[in-house]
Amino acid sequence: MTAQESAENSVITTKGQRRKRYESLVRDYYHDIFRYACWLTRHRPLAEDLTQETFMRAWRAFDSLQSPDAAKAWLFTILRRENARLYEKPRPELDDVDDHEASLAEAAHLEPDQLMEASMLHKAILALEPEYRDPLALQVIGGFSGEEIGVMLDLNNNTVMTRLFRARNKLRAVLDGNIESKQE
Amino acid sequence: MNEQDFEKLLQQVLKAPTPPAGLQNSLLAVASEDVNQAAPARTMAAANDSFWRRALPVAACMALLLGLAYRFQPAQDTPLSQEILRHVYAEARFLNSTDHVSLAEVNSRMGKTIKARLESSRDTDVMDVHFSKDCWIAKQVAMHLIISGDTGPVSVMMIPSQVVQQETVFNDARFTGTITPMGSGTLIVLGNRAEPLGKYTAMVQSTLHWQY
Repeated sequence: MTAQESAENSVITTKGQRRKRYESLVRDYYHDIFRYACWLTRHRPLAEDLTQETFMRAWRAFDSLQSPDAAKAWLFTILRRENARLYEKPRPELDDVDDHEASLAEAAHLEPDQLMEASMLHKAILALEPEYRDPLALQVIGGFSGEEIGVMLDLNNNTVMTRLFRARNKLRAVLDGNIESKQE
Repeated sequence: MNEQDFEKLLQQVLKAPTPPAGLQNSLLAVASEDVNQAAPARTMAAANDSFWRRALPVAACMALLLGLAYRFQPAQDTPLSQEILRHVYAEARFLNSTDHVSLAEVNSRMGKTIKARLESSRDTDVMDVHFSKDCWIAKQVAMHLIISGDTGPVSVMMIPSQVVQQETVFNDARFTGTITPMGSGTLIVLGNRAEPLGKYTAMVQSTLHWQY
């Protein structure tokens, strides 16, 4: 084999490996990326576009990913940056709640009673201020620790933990209030 | 509700959104399509210089021939045209959708998202729409329709504000498109390189009403 053929083979192998690693990244994380995009944009079509943009950017910058362990946080960070870049202009609120409720029933196999509670909780999460909703979604969907969320949101760990605590309290208050008023 | 039930419900609700069918394939296709110019080019250029020395003149000739063949229209490569092409490639799986969307359904969606409607006419009544979705173009909500054209699917996108001052033509190896100011909004039409786009622009121009 000549030096040129050897170099060409090596390039093909590198490209193939790169593509395989990217495909594995898509399979492992696209569900969570899409879910987080849904809560970030509160609109499914935008979330779909944002997921596309995120993975397109990830593929282009794939060589900058240092370690597979960092892949998930890396993707969520790309998504947040893309969201800020593409959708920073104020936009009208679009009614996409029905879609989420359909997803809820389908995804979680809920009984009618549970669906009512889930629907209440869903609306309460949508009504949360972004400063509370965002860390909560990162924790629950992404499984990130307070420190990791702090790095992504540029907050210290104590602030993140406080916001997570308050977010849950706010949601519980809405749920408990609704349950009590139903029982009265 | 106890702590454990609350956490379980919270997980179920936050993780409920499910990706649409076909999204995974479309994301995987990113690595197959030639949308990644930066990283692989860097690897190949270093290792395979002679390949590029052979390929570049051929590519340049092909580009010249393609350019001459294309109706001598001045095409512009702007950030908006790049964004449109990126969007269409990202949604390429919808180009061959076999759904049928009625004009009433199109208008219902357009009314909610971009506050506009298409009037019923001889052209719009027979227009074969097989995809209709609100999307995000030029930092705002836009309406994206895919209709049957003479040579293949044609994308028609309507933006509720004027984002260009004059008609702009753009293209790449596969698609050609136009961006046209239309009333208080903007119309984008995009189809295969051989598609005559003018008639779709004229059709929308004569039937589109902005409702604000």
